Amino acid sequence: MNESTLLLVAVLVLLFPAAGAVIAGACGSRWLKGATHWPVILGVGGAAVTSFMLFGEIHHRLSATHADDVLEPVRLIAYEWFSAAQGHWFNVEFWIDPLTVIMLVTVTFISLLVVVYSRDYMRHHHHPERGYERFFAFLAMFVFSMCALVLGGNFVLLYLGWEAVGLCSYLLIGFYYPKPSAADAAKKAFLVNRIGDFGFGIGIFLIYITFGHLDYHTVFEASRMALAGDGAGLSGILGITASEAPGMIGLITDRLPVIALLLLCGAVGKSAQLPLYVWLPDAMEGPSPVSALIHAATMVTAGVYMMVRCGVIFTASSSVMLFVAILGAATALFAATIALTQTDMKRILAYSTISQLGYMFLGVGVFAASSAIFHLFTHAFFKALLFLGAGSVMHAMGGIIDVRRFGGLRKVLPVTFVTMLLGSAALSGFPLFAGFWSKDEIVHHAFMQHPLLGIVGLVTAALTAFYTFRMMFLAFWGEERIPDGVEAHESGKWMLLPLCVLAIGAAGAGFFGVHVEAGGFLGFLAPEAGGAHAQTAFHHMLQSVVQPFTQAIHNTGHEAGHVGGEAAGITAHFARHWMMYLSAAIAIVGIILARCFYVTRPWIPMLLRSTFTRLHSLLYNKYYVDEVYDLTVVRPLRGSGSVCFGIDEFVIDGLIWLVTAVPRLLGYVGRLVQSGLVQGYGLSMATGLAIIVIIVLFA
Amino acid sequence: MDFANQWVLTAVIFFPLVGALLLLLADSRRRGFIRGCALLWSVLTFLLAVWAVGLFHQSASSGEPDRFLLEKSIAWFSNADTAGGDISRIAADTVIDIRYHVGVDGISIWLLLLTAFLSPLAIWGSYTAVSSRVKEYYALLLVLETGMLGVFCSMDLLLFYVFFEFTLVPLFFLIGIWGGPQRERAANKFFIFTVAGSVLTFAGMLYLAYYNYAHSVATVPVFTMDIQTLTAFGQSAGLPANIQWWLFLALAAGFAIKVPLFPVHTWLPLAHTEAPTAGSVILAGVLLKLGSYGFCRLSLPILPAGVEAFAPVMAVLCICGIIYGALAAWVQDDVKKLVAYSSVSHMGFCMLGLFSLNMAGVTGSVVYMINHGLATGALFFVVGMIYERYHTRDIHKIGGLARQMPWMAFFLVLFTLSSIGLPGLNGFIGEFLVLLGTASSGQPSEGFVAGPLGLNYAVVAATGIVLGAIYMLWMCRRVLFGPLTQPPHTPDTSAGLSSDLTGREIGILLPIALACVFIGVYPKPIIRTMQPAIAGNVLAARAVEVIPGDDLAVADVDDAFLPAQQSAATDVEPAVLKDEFDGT
Amino acid sequence: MVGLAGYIAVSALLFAIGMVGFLTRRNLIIMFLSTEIMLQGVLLNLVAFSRLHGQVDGQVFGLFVIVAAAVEAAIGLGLIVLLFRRRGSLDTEELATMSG
Repeated sequence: MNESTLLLVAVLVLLFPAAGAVIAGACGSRWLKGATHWPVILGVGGAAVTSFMLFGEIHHRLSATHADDVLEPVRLIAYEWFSAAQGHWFNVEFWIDPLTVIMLVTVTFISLLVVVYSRDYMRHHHHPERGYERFFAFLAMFVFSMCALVLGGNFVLLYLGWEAVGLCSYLLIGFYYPKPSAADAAKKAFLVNRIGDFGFGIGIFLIYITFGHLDYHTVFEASRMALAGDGAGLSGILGITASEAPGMIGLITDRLPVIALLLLCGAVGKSAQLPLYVWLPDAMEGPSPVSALIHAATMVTAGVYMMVRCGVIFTASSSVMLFVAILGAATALFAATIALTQTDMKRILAYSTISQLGYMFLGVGVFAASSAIFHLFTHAFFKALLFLGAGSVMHAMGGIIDVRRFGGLRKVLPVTFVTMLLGSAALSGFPLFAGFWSKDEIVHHAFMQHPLLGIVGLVTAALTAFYTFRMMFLAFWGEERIPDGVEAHESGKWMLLPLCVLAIGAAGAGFFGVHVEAGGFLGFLAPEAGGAHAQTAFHHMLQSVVQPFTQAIHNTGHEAGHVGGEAAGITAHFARHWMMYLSAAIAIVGIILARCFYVTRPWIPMLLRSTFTRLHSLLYNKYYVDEVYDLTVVRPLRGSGSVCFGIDEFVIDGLIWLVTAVPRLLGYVGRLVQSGLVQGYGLSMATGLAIIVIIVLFA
Repeated sequence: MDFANQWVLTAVIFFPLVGALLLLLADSRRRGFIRGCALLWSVLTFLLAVWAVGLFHQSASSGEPDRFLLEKSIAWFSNADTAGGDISRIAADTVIDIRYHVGVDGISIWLLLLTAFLSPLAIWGSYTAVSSRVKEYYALLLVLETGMLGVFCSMDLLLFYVFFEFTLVPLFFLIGIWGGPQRERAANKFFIFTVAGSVLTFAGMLYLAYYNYAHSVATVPVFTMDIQTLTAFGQSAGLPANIQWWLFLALAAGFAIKVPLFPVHTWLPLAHTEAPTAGSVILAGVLLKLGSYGFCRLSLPILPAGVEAFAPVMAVLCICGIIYGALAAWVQDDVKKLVAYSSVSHMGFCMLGLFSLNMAGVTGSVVYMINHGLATGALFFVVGMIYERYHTRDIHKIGGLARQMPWMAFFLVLFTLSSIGLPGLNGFIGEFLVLLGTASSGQPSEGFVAGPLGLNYAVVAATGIVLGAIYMLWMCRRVLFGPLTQPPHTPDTSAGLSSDLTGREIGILLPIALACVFIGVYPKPIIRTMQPAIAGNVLAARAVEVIPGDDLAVADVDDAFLPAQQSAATDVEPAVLKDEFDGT
Repeated sequence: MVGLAGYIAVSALLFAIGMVGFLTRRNLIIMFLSTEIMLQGVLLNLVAFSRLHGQVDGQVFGLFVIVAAAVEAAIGLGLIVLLFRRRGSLDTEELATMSG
């Protein structure tokens, strides 16, 4: 493909879902009604097809590049958008590189499955639910926004996509808006994200005043050159004179960590990390397909995507990276502990999502960017699967999702059960399933960076296995319990097909990142066995994108064995295998423990709960974070609003009253003279006349 | 075409006035006829304005894009013309040359179009809301339109001031006669606030013109109030800095109240709440822009030293207004008052952009004026539509209307999103540019010297975005979502309304919505015509003096990051760009 | 032959009579007539001085005043009639609605 064809295809990726959204929104309620899913399915399908075309093209170009060359990203300008200075336009432009296409393919493929799933899910007794067309229009709009986020070639478009996906999330969480909890959750999601975006926006401004540009190319190239101390290259990129270059280098290197921290704010909001994670559990008020697509597989990973995209900026400072790693590890552990006690199936999965996103942050923080993206990729499959499965359960249980109220559904929902089992295995890191490979890589790199981070990763892995299977055992094992008045039935074809496809993904997606020849676990399978040329398909593809990360780690000298040759690789190799066995064992132990707790010996959790009442209620109430926020942020802010309004009413208007009091006082004095009697006025005139006459005559 | 070029603006300005006079001849009992005529007339005005934009583009593309175009200048209070070209003959007397001088540049043409666009919608939006004294109502709306259009076209200070004040009278009556329960108090407060300020403005204008006259270097000094002449004078070294400070304060007095800037904004919530829907729409949509336009057209170009000195103070006031307005909006129970306070907050952004004194900020500010006019005007429409059905705007008495009124919900959410600056809609472009301009104000860029603001201002102002989202979404949450709550015996459909929006109402909101989306996706036509005008007519005094053949001067411009040079660049006297002032 | 002093005395007398009438009576019509008398006093003064100086300006001006007074009388009486119709009284004490 040449550049103009690529541009056309990239535009089509955006246009297909946009058209689907417009058609569904405009014609849905009047003409299409129950068939509104078709334009959206076709639109998202079109986006998926075009995304795969882009993927194929990039893959082709990658294989055509020489091994030592870096694949240059494709930069395409669609049109000029707006400008901050004459002739200096912010463009609507695209940036296509391996990361872009991997994200695009993941997003559009999962979206397609979710849209297909929604066709049945959004119906009750074969009748479309109220707001059917609205749902599909928003879903298509989301796909458009997410693609725009991923495709965008400058920070303005990134921000556009960033806000637009937030908007779709807002609209879809509030889909059941007559329910107060749903409406509140929607508002909360948008606002918490806005708080993160505040920092994100400031970061973008700082980028602008530092570089004078906002397109990725200039910013990344300039940062790279500044970090490398290449004054000549820098002046070429930014159009400054050579004498200014040294000062500029200093300025950029000083500011990059600050910019990274500000951008991180946005990522923390969008990807629901500490302390801004609070919106994600509440977001489960939205329909299950939305939770699967937006709040598990795609949108929430935008933060990770952004950090990897801005690798040059983030890797500029190792302390920022350490902060990211600690933040990720802390979130992973924190969310996993909350998930232990939750009883709402979707909320368990939501906390699990937060926890897994924490892993991805950890991955980025320990310079394992391609592993983080790999985890993003596998997580998209198994978490979407779990959410869709939960939705299927919910659909069958008549809208009830609390695991205490049903049980033993193995026989009732066989397909859902099997697919969810595969998903749970993947999530808990059961050997050979998708999550195993990707999570293991991250934990491995974490150990390389700092043992403590690795240990946190392992503990979280154990907790993950435990709470995942706690949920599974409670829902599917034991005696069959179904809420009263519910006619349980397995879902229809439209819902089961996506489940099956995703289940295949959950089981097999990990093998994209596994190197087949390298030996290791089970003799022939090993993730990223080491050695620059022996990379797996997935990591090889991302090589050019994550170059800043590998470069940085190369510079700091960490993990010399990992990047180095065979001789040094042996120890790393050994460490890796030890790790793999350990993490496999941990996952299995977690599962066994869960079985022990919730199937064979149910008195244990009861005993624990009654022994550690405080701890349990702390966890069950999510550490009271929502309450703390309400008390420390929301109420004072609203109180200050009342104060402001009071100032308006009393202070400002009072001052103005005082100012106007002067003429009013004068008027009051004047009033006394004003008797209203004509004679009175006449008399004063006559007196005045007399005085004038006397003065004229005698003076 | 030359004839059309000269007269089109005059035609646009006075066409509504003629319509108002004709309307007064109509039989006041034939309401439908009167409404139809008023609407038709304002639509014709809009078409005239569109034609004017077309002519503007035609001449702009052929000539210098930063000039005032479609000019027409006629002697008004003038004895200069009687001299027949030989001014020296009457040299003993004072030569006064105050002219009816109209013209537009890339800034005012868009505000002109905005005015002509919103007026028919305001008229159409009053069909069911106003049922008493219909004839006078529509006549006043048309008169108001003339006043607003006139301000944006004026190129003479006196003409500007006349139109500026002229807008007060019709709006005073619109609020005072057709307003809510506290209408008289609101009308009085509105009138007294704005008049009190603009008297000072007028004094400042007169002194400026007098100072120019008294210090003229020409053989025969002419007392002129021509804006371009005074601009050239202000940017020359002729106007000392301390005089500029006083003049800035005097001009700011009227404009700041009109904007309204914190802390002189308290007339606005009351006026908005009590005004009829169309009055609120016009007030928010156009009248507030008269203040910011005044800053943009007069203060910034004529008084560069004064602006430079006061910009940080003004910026702080803007930021106070942004945050303060947002917080106050959040605690309102009355939806209309909430939107009114949001205007205080938004106009703070608009003014902040102006005082960043660079291309990004001023562009953003002017775009913000247009966007705010569209989005907030539309929000007032929606609130009015709710009020017509429920006879209350109390956020506690209505709720969950999305189920009852899906179309209304769609528009309310759309305009809310536009107003909180969602990318892809118009609000974002203005907001982003304003904040970008504020953040980058501290460094010279693209041929302009550094401005007085910096990233710290932008950071504080950006909290306004978060707060903006909070109160707007809170309002949406209360009004649209949750269980359906409505007062008894509502919705009231007696006036020919349906429970959801009628075709007429959709017809009002749809054009605004389309404009919002269009500006959000493709603002290039607007920005492209605007920026040369901003460079030439607003920021000319801030352009770096380019000495021919001396590349060092240019190099200094790009040297963004050395504080010493920054202050050196800002401390020098305003650069003389235009030719020496010659007194005519 | 009556001298200038005679004219001035008569005109001053007329003015004073009118003024006293205006200040003492309560009926609007009487007050109105009193002002007319004051006007005549002024008029006489004008004509007398015109004669003294041998210029017609004063007399021309006097004619103007007569015309103006006639018009004023018409309008004034019309207003008074309207006022009487509305209020049923012409007593100025009762018409003191402009009191501050």
